[in-house]
Amino acid sequence: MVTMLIMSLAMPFFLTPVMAQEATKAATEAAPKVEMAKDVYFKTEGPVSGNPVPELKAADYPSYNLPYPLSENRILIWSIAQQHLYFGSFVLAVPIFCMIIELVGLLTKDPVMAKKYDDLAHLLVKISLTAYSVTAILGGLLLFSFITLYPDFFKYISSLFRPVMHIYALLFLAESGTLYIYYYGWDRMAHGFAKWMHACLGVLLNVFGSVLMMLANSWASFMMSPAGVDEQGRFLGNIWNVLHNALWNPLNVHRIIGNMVFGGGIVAAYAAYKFLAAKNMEEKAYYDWMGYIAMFMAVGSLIPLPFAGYWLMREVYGFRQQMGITLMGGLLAWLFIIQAVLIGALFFSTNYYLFNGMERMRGAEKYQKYIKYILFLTTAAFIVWLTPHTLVMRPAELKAIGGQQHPIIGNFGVMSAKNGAVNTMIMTTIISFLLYQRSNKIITVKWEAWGNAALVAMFAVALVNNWWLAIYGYFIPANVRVGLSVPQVMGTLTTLFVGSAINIAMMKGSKLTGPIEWGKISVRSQYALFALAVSFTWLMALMGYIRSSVRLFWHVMEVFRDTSPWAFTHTIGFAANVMSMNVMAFWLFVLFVFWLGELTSKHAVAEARKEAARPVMAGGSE
Amino acid sequence: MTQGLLAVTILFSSIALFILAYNLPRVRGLLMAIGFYMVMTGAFTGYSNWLPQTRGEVPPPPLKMEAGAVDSMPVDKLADMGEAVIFGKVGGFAERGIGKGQCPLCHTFKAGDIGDRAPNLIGLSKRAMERLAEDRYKKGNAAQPESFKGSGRAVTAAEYIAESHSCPSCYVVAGFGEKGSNDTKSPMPEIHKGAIGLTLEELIAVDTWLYFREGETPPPAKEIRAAYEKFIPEGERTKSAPAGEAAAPAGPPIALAADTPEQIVKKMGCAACHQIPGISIAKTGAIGPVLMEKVTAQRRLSSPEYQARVKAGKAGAKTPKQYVIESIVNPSAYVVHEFEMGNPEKSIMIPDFATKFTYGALDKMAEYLLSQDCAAAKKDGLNGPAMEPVSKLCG
Repeated sequence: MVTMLIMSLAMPFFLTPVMAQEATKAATEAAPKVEMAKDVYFKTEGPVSGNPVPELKAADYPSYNLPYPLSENRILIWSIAQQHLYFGSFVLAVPIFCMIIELVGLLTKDPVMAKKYDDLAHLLVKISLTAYSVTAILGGLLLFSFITLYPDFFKYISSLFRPVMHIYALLFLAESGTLYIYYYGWDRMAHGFAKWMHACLGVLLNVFGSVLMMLANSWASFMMSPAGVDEQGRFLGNIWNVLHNALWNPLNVHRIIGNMVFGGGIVAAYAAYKFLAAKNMEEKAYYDWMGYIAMFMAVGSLIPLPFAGYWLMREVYGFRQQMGITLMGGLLAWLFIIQAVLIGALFFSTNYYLFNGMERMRGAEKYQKYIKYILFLTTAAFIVWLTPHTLVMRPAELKAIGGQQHPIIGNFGVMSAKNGAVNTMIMTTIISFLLYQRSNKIITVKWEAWGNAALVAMFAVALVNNWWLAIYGYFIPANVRVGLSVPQVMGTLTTLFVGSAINIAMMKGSKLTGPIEWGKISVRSQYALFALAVSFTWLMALMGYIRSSVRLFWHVMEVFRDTSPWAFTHTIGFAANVMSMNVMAFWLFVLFVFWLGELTSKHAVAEARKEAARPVMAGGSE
Repeated sequence: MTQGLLAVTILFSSIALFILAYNLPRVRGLLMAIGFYMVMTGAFTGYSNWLPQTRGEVPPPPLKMEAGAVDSMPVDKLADMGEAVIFGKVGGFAERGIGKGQCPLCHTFKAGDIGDRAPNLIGLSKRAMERLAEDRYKKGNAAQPESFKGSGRAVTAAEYIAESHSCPSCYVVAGFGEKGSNDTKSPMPEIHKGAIGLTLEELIAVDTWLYFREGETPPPAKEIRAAYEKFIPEGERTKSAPAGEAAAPAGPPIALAADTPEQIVKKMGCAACHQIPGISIAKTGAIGPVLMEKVTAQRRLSSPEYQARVKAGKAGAKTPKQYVIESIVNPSAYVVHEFEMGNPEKSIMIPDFATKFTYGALDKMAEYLLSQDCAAAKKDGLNGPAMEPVSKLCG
């Protein structure tokens, strides 16, 4: 229904150029012949329906006389876009969480727990309301910055995406309306059929949000992998081709998952801060629980993220091999080493949090002896994960190492090893979670031994399969090696889904050694949540920079050249400085948003906090 | 070095926050949280600044040379030019550099190196004839039968190499095609256009190097040119900039108001021709006048020669500052007699500084030059060019 509505709204926009072309054809045979040109990506012929990209000079980029580095227009655009994307991600992710948490609440039979989930969802949407306004303001600021600082570029892009931009604006209206009904109707639609309708509104909100994001993604992905235009950048009459460029879908998937990870991280940080500032045990218990739920959602989303990233990168290589090599083995390769460090920080923080979380459960001691093995495996995988492949090196360094790759550890730099390493890290985190789930339980099912044996065997087979394929990958050509990632991923996902299923089945009817004592987690663990949040934020800044800078000196890859005085690519250190300033600015903004939320939320959560102290079982479900 | 200061600042700020937190228990939680964020941010920033720092430059514009200039170039010079296109500079092969052609991103060039993504190019000149004899080559690629309609196929080794460069999908070496294309589509871009955009001269140089580095005699440049002209239609050829024409702006550098006069001089390369008092790098230029405008600007402005240019509508400055700015952005408005080099109408100075200075930078540079006098020149030991020595200007 919604899709049909959107399509009916969109059709006139989408069809305009094509219809114009049809009309021209039908009108008269004597009309001037339409020039046809070849699509740079789809290689199909289409009628030339737009102007070529403008040929710009350095002086065509109006700039302010600001001190360096603000004298570079791109730094201003970069910072504003980054803040807009941070808040945009947050306000897209929070409704996803709200939708899930509200549904969980609806499906939970225990009325106390149901209310607890419902209140949490309500609190989250309240926090995101202010962030939503900030996102819109930053979006406006970004738009004005583009118009004033990159007028020719913006004119070109808007000439192509004209209909998409209008639909974007209409969707924004629709999303705002839905959000306000969703939030302000919370109490009125609290029971019976109305509550289900309210949950449906949550789904609708996410549909609008996701389509909105996908449309905006098309602009960024078009700049990386243009389509629907000819070599001169002239529009060829089919907006769907422009929209549906090579990297659009991989970017959509990667961003949706990434947003969820990021949103979870922010909520976890909020809960951690509130936990540390809590004045009584009730508050501590509530925010400990909230932090756990947010961490669970963030890490749950983090697990599929590398696979989405892998798909995106595979499509980058498919679109333009040089682009992939620039990323993974060329100018930008060191940035992936930083990414590896950040992802390592995420996995370590998660495991550390789970290990600490066991402390709030009596009976967890018997599993703590496994921590050192998990830590060892994670560390070993992390070291392999961050070993670089081909690097941009100085001649002296090349000579010292004896080539682009180190004779021994250089072997860990290839994709084969990376796939093995990241799958290992994911599996060790899954093991930590399974142990966490059963920490306060004595399993009573008769098939306990078989269940444990099945779990051990499954993880052993998955790990050995993963390592074996990683080693085998060294002996086969690259194009065959790419296919090995599938069985590696399958092994990891099997441990996740089948492992969790077996674990949950084994816990059926289990005896509690004690409740989860929410609030009795260590203070250190809350800093692990901070570490998660700041790593996510930095990671997002880094990956955004990588995605954007891979275009090097092109506004639109190979079609529209960047002739500004700052078309070169900055050093890693410079980029990192800008990223850090952006990260710090964002968290200052977030503090402000949370503070605003705090002004009105005190009464709303007071009741929920009282309920939070109620003991529940591990696993987050009940 | 200064780039890394931010990380240090962030880390020190976080320590300050921790100390504050210790002493302010009411806001301890908040300050500790911010401090922790800053520790992590500082650590990531510091790590990133510790890694090797490489700036990705904008590739140079096409070489300045007349079409056909390489035809008479000695083979070794042409091969050197080819090496620079492939590996970034002469000698870049040994260092495995990456040049404008970007070839080493995918191809390997040394015996024993395995090319996963594209064939090793060693022995290419010999292998070319073997490829031409293959059934697959003769049968042709239905998806891309020839470079363009009517271009025909390669019959010589030089043509095979030219065809591979300009139409990579015309024939794809088995195993190197795009996934799922059954070797009918090459992942290699057409290097004579698009992002790489090599000119015919650069392509000829590249092919010459491929032969020359293996001790073989390359085909004459004219033959290679003919091969490329066979496969690249006239409209698709990237043109070399004619000799003497200013290169297209490659992006940086640009003079900004925030720059010091020394930085502006360095960015704009003024010191190549001018001596400028107070600028450490501008002590030897001998092609243009010494830039001590406190002494010369008013003098030039009042000269009958300048006033003649004003009457002729070529110049229009009324104040010394206007004169200095005019001289930078429109050097041919008035050429000082001693520096005419045979043509009073056209200065030999680079004519496009108008697009390389911001207004603020022009203003700053003009002010600076107008403050320079004989004392400053003598203090720096400047003698000036032979055409107009400092001694003549300062007495």
